[in-house]
Amino acid sequence: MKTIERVRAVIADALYADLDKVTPTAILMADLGAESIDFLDIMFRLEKEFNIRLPRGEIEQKARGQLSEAEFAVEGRITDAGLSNLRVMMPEVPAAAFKANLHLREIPTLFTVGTFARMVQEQLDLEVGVNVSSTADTAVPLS
Amino acid sequence: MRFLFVDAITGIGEGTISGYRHFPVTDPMQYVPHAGSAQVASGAMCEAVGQLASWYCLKQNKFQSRPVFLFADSIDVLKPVYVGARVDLRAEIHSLEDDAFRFSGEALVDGEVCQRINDCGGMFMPLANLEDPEVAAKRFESLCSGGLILNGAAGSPYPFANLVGEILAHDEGRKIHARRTFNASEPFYADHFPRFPVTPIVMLNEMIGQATVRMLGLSRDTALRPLAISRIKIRSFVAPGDSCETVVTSQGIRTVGSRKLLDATAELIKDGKRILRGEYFYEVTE
Repeated sequence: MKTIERVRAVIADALYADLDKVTPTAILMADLGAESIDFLDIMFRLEKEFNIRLPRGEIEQKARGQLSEAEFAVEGRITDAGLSNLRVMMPEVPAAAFKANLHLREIPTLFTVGTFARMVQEQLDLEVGVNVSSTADTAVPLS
Repeated sequence: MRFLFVDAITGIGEGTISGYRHFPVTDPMQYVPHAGSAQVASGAMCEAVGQLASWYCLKQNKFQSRPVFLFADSIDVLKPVYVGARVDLRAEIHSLEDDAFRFSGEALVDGEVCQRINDCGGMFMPLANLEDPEVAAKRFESLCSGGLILNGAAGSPYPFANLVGEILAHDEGRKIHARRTFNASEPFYADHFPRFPVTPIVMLNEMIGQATVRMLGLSRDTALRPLAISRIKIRSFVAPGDSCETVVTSQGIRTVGSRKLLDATAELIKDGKRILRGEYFYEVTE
């Protein structure tokens, strides 16, 4: 089964939602009734389902990129530069959702089912990379 | 009666902790059957294992933050535990981060597992917001050095016998809708928690079990034996003074061989919002 299908099933289970409604573009809070507490539950379930470790606060950290804390947000409100980074970081979220003056604590309101699928896929790719690299490091030449 | 469910901590390892609790005959969390010894409510065992896991987390974070349990994959009730029993407890912490944790645990009597909690998780709250960290640290020391004997300590027993409250609607065998207001003087608030009283999840679970007994029209709480709870999640605290509605629904009792089994779904509603949901599996013994 594809990653997105497995993520959809996990989210539907965690939110007691009909699988049909858990589309890749569905927004967890607005469309599926998720609350902040559900995010932790979903993260744990995804980690178990895919046997991975999802870094906490990853989106904000990655979105900040080279920006300093002050350049990313002022008094909790995300700057234009910060929003621009967030848009790049979260391509699955419609551009219109990145409204001016978005507060840091409102970032989870942007999360779609696709956001979690992307996070999982990135982590799976990363772990494959680590495993390949670690195999390469420890490989013994045959000849 | 104190709402403290670990009498002693007997071992702490890498990601593991063990201890025990003696359930006194005066323990309020018990159900008295038609015949035989009174049984400890399954929620009491859950609380004991949960409190043990909490001690591990508290030690690891140097009494900075306390775990708050929010969800569990499943809780399996394998055997009844009778009052007077010493229950050995053990927990395995699967992950412990700054803001979240996961653990599984067991309650055992005479080496046999009576109850198992599978993959329970939650978040942390600053300990100082809940209770005095120094008191917690001293209690931990005491638990690790021979045990903290609090059984029979002064205090009113909490009102365990009737947690259901007012029945708002009842379709016998299929659905019940009840409402209970948690009085600020409920004795469990003194320990859970001194600076931030909230209703323990296990009391809410017992309230659901008692409502299910009423839904089925059974004559005694012990006529319904919990077998398992799965996919339970709580999204909000129930504070002193809060009114909480319990809605239990079921397709009815099904007979499997000589056993009568019941699957039920329960929800708790506060201020119009669903704050808890879980799937409950029982055996009807009456």
